[in-house]
Amino acid sequence: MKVIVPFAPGGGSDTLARVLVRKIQNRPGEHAPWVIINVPGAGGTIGSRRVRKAKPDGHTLLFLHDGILTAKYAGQSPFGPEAFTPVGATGSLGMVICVPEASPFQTLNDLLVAAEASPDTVTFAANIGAPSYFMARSLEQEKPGASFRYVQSGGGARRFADLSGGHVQSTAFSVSEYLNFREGGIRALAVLDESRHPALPTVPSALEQGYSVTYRNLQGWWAPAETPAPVVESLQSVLRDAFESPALRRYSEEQCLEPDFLDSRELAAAMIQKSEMLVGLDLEFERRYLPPVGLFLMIGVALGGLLTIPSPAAGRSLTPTSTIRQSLSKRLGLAALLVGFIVSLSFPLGMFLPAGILFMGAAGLIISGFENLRATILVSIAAPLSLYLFLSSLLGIDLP
Amino acid sequence: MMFADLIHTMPWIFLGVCVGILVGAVPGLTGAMVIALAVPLTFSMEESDALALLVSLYVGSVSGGLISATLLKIPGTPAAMITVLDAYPMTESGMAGRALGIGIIASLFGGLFSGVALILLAKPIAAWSIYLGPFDLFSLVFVALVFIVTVAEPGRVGMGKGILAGCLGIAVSLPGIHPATGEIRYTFGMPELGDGFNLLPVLIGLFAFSQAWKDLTERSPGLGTVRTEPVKIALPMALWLKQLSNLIRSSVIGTLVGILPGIGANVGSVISYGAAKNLSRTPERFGKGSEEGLIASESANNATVGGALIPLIALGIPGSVIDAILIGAFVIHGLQPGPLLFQNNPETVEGIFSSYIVANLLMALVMLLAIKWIALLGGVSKTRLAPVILLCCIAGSYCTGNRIFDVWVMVAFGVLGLVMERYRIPPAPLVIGFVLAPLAEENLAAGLMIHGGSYLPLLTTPFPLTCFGIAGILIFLSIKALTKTASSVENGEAG
Repeated sequence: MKVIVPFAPGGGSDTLARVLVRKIQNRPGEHAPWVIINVPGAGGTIGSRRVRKAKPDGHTLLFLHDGILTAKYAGQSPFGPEAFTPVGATGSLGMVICVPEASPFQTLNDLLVAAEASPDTVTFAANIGAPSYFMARSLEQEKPGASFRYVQSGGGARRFADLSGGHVQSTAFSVSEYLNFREGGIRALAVLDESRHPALPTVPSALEQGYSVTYRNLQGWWAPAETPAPVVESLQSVLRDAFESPALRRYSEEQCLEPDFLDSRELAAAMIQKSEMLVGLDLEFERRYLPPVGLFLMIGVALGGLLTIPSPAAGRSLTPTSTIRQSLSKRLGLAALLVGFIVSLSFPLGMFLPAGILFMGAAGLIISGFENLRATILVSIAAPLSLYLFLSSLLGIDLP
Repeated sequence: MMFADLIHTMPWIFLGVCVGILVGAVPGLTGAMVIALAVPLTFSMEESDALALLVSLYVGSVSGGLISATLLKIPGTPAAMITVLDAYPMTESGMAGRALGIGIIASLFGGLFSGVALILLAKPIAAWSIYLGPFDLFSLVFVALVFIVTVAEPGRVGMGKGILAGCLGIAVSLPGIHPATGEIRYTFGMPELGDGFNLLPVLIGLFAFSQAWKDLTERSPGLGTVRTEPVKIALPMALWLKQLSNLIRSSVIGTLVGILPGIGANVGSVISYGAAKNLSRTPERFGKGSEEGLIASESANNATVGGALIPLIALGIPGSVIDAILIGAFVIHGLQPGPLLFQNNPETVEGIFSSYIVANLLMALVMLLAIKWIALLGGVSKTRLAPVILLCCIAGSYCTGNRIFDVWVMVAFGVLGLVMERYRIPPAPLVIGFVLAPLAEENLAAGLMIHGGSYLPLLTTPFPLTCFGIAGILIFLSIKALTKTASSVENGEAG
């Protein structure tokens, strides 16, 4: 089982996925190893793309919150939740708006007033296309005329580094991320909810401060589209059992996770409801600040090219190597053999073990002819066989 | 790290050190190659075991080169190329055992010295790094990039080639997903390129495949007979007391070169060898069996390993090609190098520290006890070994994404590696460019977003300015040192 977490390790999504997977892993009778693979970048879309392309056999799961939806509406990815089979949601997380400890902003209102007084100057670290970006956009809507200057950051861990280092003026965290990071020189301005959060009794809610922005980030699990219903159901019950175990209950409480499990159908319905909310928002972001990488690259190539134009004295450094090459026909034969081997692997007919033995045997014959035939045969059977056994039996990697 | 944990990972460290030494000793197998091939194998291992194994492979592979350098006049790894200059003449005059003994002890000293530096410096650097903003990080990464491309090969033409290779690496990093906006770009209609080239197929192709193909299709001139002699470790204490300043100086140079992003063990030994020669009372002995030269080279190349782990663990910036592979391994195992690693996974950091130290001790032990047998491996037929390595390349690159596309990518980069070698274009800048370019682009974009599109802060804030200044001085100095040593290496070979 591969669980793709499309964010860097150390953030909120990653931690929750790890706790859950450890619980599932320790279930009596669970033999298949569950592996978490972090595929961070681009607001979670790199990871989600990978799962979308995976085989719908129930062996690959995506753990992604509302980012799956916001990325679509930000124009970052052509697909949204409809491209996956919903499996379930393990709770939801409230969100808080934060500033550095030393920030002059004391309330949510201070922040938004500043963003209105001089638009496009107050910096807000967001993972563009992810919920942190979407929330800031909904805040702007509540205060007409206010606009933040968005800075591409990353998952919670990266946003924390940017905020606590004083490189940006504001950002958003989930409640659990805030609890992890709050000793690190940051301060919460508001919980984006109607009432205060029980774990953060001193942080006022947004509604209290006159802004009716509510946001709860659903922690969804997704399988590739067209995953068969029985597989989805069994995964759903595995997740539900793990999530509703006492250990996870305790964890949810500590991490301020709303402990309601949504099943496949409820998750799909929640996504439709959320997407209706998003339709009205302008999620386009500023592109004019992107660096012209192509131009830089051309300058580099020009510089390198100029330096390489040989001067009369520089030619001497290109001394020929003292080795003798095999004849052209042998080299061509080896190349053809290699290409043939890889091509045969791409068809369902080709299998690593027989094709590997054939490849090794033929290569051995080309190199050393018929002398030492016994050694050639021995090596060409032993090497693919031991590699195959090592990889597939010992390490559980499926070779073609 | 708890003692019990260390006992648990000990077999992996032992395995890593042994395999690493073998790989280092056998010409044609390099550390980068074997570590790139080993990363997919660690997918299902515990993270602490996996990292212990990879770090020990790194330590072993840098050390093993000493053996073939001393006994066969072949640097088993690029890191040992300077070692050959003095170790082989010692062998010729019947002092192979002494050369090996000195080399092993010098390696151990260098390795432990940089280990202490790693333990002392990594955490403060990581804690301080939180004050680095996007532009600061960009300038750090940019300087690393500039540094590696300019010092990879000596001379003006060499620098030009380094820059071209670096640009090629950046170009290779572009297809896939834009690091700042998430848009898909430059896929040329190939859906497989949607998330860009994977690091491992690129590395396996450039380092393992191209080397194996060369071994397969080239008949190298016959090797001399392998002489084995018992290693002499009972060396007079007076020797070490006399060489203490040399040992410490070379270890410091090695560690610093290791910390500098982008350059590896071979540059470390080149620079410390140059320094030792300049400061020596008998510079004429260098290249003719000087124990000083051997000590300088071997302690420095081992010291680069610990040094290179510092920016890797503290900042997440790779200090060498092997570190670039290690970063991939960290991420696969759910660890993000940088300040949060110390906060979230302190036990992992301690695990890496202790496996590094233990690996160095085991390295010395294994080398002292088993050198006789390892030396025999130097004579293994490369052409026999090559098909096996090709097979591993194919299996290893397939494992990374379970798709044949990655195998073709690996072959393509292997061919590219051969072409580059033909024209003497160094592959290291390509790899570092490939790894660092997305990091540079993302931070540059974020910096530009913060400053409303202005590049000015790059020149007006102290940190980037300092970075550029230091880089300028270092590049100037190392070009001088490299050109000097390169010419002396050439003269030495001619004579």
